[in-house]
Amino acid sequence: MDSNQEKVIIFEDVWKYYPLYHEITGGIKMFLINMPKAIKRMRGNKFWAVNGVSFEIYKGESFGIMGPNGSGKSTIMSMIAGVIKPSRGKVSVFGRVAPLLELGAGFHPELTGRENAMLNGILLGLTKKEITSKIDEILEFAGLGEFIDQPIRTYSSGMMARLGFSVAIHIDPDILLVDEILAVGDESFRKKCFAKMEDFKRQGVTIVLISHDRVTMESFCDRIIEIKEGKEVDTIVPNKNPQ
Amino acid sequence: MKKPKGSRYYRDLAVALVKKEIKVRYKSNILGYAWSILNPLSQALIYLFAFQYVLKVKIDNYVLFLVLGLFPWQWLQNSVIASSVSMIANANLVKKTIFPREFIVFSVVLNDMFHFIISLPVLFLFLFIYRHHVVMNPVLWLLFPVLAIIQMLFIAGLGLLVSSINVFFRDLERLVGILINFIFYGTPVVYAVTMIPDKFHFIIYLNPMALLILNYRNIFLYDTISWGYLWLSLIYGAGVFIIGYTVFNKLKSRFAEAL
Repeated sequence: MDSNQEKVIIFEDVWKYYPLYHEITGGIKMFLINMPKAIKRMRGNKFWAVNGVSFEIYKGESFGIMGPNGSGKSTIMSMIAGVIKPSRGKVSVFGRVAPLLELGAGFHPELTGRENAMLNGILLGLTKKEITSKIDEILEFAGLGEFIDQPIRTYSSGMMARLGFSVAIHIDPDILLVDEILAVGDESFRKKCFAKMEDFKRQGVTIVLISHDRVTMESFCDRIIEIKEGKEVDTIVPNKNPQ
Repeated sequence: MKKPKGSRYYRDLAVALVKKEIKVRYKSNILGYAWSILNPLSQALIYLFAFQYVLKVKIDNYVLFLVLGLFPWQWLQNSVIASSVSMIANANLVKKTIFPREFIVFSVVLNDMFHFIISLPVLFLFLFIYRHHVVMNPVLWLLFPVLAIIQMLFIAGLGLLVSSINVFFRDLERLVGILINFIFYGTPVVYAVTMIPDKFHFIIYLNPMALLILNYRNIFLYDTISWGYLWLSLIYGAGVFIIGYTVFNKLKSRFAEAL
């Protein structure tokens, strides 16, 4: 990738450890009884999820993070989303990030699809006015028909994924985070999502994709890094023009 | 995610979250409004029987007296208990998005405040039944919302405190259930402040909820106000809010990883 292009996500020697929280979430009693010991143990007992990762993602790039379960890719994603802070190093993110929520996260089962979509838009950073002007488009893209005014609890997981994806792509993100969410939903909706993501690519939206499905990643991403045990082990630039 | 700035966004966020709470509450049951009234009223009935008829407590207008304690108490109890589990209940959201987490607590507190306010017609009905008039003094009328705002600050402070600490110490939610019971009987809800033995009288000065309830009663039952209690409860309310917010802010950056 051209180095004079605009960088939108920069990881500079990023490390992240988790203190083993169960020491304290396990119980106040145990914690209070062994307080000095427990604190010492917490200090020593760290789980290093990310060990010195550096990369730069450019505007409009589709960037894949690949790795087995527990390799640290979700932690990297959480740091891009800004919900987790690095322990060492620096993470810089420029622009509005739209995280694709896990199935129905933030959706309330008793509220209708329409009500949930409105609420989700606001939680993702839109004002009431902005989401109101987009709601028709969102519902249209989700293609849920009359189900849209039914409570979410009556939805299948695929339907929830459609609604979630539809909200996320309509908040005008600069950076879209896609976390294996497209594994659910039927084939036609998947195609629609990828078509929309191709649209985004053309518009210069940066897309970060997490998956362990190499085929999908290589067909979609401009660049993929492979993570193992919190370290970058490989960079893959898929050959886009095999013919 | 870009930090959404501006008071308009925060207002929209608060309104949307409170609306959600209210909608959810009313969608799942037909009696909706009645439930938020029936709960404190049924408790009033129980205490009426236990304390007035069995224990022969001598308090005039005891039902009105109880309702004036139980409606504000209900707000505190529901909000603090709901706050304590609120981050865990919204874990999916907290782990994925960066919207200001304190709004989860605010929506809990405002939702219960809303129910406190819509229970007022019932209170006025009792006032009319027992006292044949609703308070006339306009100054006292104006002080009622002041008390409600102080109570809101106090409850929001407690909510921020317990919600954030409970992410790391999950035992807290159990502890809250027990402590709330202690505080209930340490607050003059079912008994009058004059019945507290002198050597324990100091407890009401340690308990902002006691000061508030005594003043609610002062306004509606005795046509007066204790300025001393009012100022003291304001100091407590503001203090607890500041402490709660500070602790919450210290801990919130680690919520996503501990949930």
